[in-house]
Amino acid sequence: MQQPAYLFRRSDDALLFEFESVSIQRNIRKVVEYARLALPEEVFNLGLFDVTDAGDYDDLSVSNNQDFEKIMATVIQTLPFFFAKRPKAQVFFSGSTASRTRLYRIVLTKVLPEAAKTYIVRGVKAGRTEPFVPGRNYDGFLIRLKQQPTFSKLVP
Amino acid sequence: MKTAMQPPPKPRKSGKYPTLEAASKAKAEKALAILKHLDPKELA
Repeated sequence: MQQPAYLFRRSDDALLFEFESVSIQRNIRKVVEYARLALPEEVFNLGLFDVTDAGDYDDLSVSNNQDFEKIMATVIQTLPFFFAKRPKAQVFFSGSTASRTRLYRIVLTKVLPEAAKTYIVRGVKAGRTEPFVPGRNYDGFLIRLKQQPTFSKLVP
Repeated sequence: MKTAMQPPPKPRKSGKYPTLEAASKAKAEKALAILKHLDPKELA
């Protein structure tokens, strides 16, 4: 079953996505960005930022909007749009802190059974990668398409 | 005036950046710091 997620806007090149985290207390603008890394391989870093009232982009804020899983589900739903444009690319992501990376690991563990149908998920640790093992600590994660489905199959 | 004896800047405690470009650049640097240790074959 698909997790509830926020509706989002996306750029034509599917590198930038925006949505709002909503709670009784406040709404927070969120930006998901895929940024090409300076590597020979086609690797993009996935960044998730809060846009503050002052217009700053913040990757360390703790919003306490009680919607972490919904935010993660939204981020995950941007992946098909990204890969539809770049089926051979890889996406790297890690938390802005070690505790956030652990949170991402927990989310990955939860979504892995479903995600593994479409993606290959690898953990990165100490200069090595390995197939993602639930419960194991990693410095970050790499995701690539398992196969190259057609655009219509990939984008919901 | 900056001299060679100046200590390196302290790491930022805030994760706030004035532009998306600056935020993206900082995140990319962190990512590269992790990925640069990988054997290129791991990314192939």
